[in-house]
Amino acid sequence: MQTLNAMHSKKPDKIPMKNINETVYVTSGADAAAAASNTLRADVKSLSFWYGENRALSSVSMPVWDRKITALIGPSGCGKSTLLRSFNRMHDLYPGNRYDGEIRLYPEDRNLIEMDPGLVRLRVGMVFQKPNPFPKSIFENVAAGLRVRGIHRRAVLDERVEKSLKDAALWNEVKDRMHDSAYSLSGGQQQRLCIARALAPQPDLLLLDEPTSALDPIATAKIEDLLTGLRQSVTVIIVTHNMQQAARISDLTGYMHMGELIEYGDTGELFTNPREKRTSDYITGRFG
Amino acid sequence: MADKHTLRIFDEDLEKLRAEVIKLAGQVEDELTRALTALISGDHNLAREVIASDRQADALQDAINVHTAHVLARQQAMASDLRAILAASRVAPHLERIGDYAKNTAKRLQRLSTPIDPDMTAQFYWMGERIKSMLRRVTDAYMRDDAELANVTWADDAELDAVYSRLFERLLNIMRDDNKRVADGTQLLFIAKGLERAGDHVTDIAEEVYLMVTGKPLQGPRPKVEEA
Amino acid sequence: MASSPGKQPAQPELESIVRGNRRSDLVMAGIGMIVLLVAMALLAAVFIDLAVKGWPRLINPDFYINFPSRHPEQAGILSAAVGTTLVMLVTALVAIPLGVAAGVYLEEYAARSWITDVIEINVSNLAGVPSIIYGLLALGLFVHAFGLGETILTAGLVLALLILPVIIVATREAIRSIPLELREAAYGLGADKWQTVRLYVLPAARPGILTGAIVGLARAIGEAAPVITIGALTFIAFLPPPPVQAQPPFINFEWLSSPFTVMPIQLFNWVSRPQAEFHINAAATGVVLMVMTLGMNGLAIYIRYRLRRDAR
Repeated sequence: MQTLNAMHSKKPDKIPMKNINETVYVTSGADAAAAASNTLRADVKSLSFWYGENRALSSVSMPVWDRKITALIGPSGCGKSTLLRSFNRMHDLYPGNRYDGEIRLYPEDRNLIEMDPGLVRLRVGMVFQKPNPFPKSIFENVAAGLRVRGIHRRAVLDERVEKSLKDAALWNEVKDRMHDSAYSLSGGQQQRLCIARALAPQPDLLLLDEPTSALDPIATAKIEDLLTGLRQSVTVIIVTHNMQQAARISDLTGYMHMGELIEYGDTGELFTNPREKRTSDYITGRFG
Repeated sequence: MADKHTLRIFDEDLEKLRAEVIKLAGQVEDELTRALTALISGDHNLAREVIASDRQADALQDAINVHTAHVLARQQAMASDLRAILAASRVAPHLERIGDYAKNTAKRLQRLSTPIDPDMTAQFYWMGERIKSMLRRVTDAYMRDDAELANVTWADDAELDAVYSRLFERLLNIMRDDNKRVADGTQLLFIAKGLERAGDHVTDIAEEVYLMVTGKPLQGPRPKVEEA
Repeated sequence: MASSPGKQPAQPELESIVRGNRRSDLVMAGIGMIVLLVAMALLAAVFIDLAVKGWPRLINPDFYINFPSRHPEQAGILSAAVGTTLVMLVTALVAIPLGVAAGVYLEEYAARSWITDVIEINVSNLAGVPSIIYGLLALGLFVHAFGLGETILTAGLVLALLILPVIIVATREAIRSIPLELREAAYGLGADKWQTVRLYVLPAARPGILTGAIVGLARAIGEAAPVITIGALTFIAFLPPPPVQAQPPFINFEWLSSPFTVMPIQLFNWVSRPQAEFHINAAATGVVLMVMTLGMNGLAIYIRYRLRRDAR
């Protein structure tokens, strides 16, 4: 078992050393070294969150490693989606919500909770539970994030749209019908389109909120495969109610329960040798 | 298994596991080669190297155990995938045992007081070569999902047993005739028995490979020559 | 159901429930069908009655290109039709942008407070105010206070006021029906509120907004009371200056300040004449008006169908 301090020492110099003491990062085993040798993309520090009077997150702390897939699992209402939606400040769209604590964003080491929500969302992409393409053409859907950023030059748009669709493993299926309505695609294709749309502005962080819960197993497998392909270039956080999905594709897994992060660590390790009884009960199906 | 999974990372996991098993097989074959070379040439330095290098085989087997558990936990493997993962976890201990016999050979040869008779050398050499060729073939069968090759290898063990029986007989006679050679003879007897056991492990691997490829256990009476 | 498995008696009971349900379904369907048929029959009866009465004029091309006349057989609806078209143009250009903007503001921007609640209640109530009241308002405000006179502009403005609540309510309904996911998708890309509304919410709400606008205009086209109140002429034998011309700047706005009449007034005028021949003209005008109204409603349905199909 290693503490965060040990791992921070392996980071490049430009990232300031930080002293996080209590948080124990439960990674060990073969793949842990690979995880630890990476840099931080974000670091959640004692984050709590309230929907009005209801506390949905209780002092959650977890590092988010660069270019890894981090999965959040747990029973319904455990706060995993709440935590995910804190990363792009989606809660700020609705009144009565309150944060406490920090999400440090690297490499510049700023607290995301204190930044302008619009600015945060320009850097953090999101894919939702139900495919939600805009009622526009396939091309315009992928270009949407670029247009929002004031990019309108055709050559740039063409290039970025093509690359994003390739990254989302959709290019071959749509390259001859870029100007058809996005609604002409199947559900699985629509969800990959939404992933392409989120990827086009080259986000620092890609959030996925149960992205395959509305899809059939084959469409799900395609999305899982493209996600594992993405980790060369993007940091991914995925919330899934499907524990097996987390096991299949993630590098790191966090188990949440009642707004708390119970255990967080290397996926292979967490699913074969969890440290917490509550984690063990949940992943072995002995949980309420 | 030529068809790829939609989730390519699953293919990668399975391939990684298979590669580790093949690597372990290579390691064990190398140990056997060097142990027999040391036995025939009486090279104690080489024997010590063999003993040291067996630790790598043990480490590889541990890694395979851990990875098998991870793949089982992470991928909901079914059918041929499930059999492949199970085969990896069941083949590895056999390989590790073969490595142990190579190590024992290396340990025992250091206790020999006199070099082995040249004609007996040929028989040990033959046994070693036979085991290695069986091991290579069974590894090929594992690598290529070849049930037929696994089946053939399974039958090969009979000849090995026959040679072992003759060697056993001879060593017994030597010890009966000359009680000064009982100590060396016993060491050689254990080495020969070890090689025979190694051959049995190879046939066990062949059974596992056959089961992995076809999903059915290898049928028929196991070829076995009566022990003397 | 707590019936134990394997016991037969539960079956007939369930079957009778299913039969009962099917019977009440049939009764409801029957009542609905009868009500619908009565309404359709009434509309058809009015239409056919007018069409038969006005037939001699309807098939005469002169009816469409002549000005009104003292001689019933020469009188036509040209000035009324042109007047109606121009007034509707003003109404549409004023009511749709204002109504959509107000709807967007109330739905997207206005903070929830008692002021917005009051505004909301008022908007809903305005839709129920009798149209003649709008006419009185316009007479006082536009004609006298602003000095706009009894012109096309005044008529267009009063009808725009009349249908504004309809468009506001339709816009709000359309915006509210946009799924939350679409909004979150836009915000999730980093779009600000105005980008979200302009690029994603309004285009998606277009079918509902356009339908509301056309239904509003279809209502305005048949209104006589407010237009009479502001003092539209009933007998007019000239056309307003055309809105487009051959010389630069190609557009002129003199028509806005022109006197005018509209179809409902023309109809009202003819129907109040003692001579029966004019009643034929009135019937024919009624048919044209109904065709225009039904045509606009049809257009609304078609647009909604087209846009929804494109969007789904």
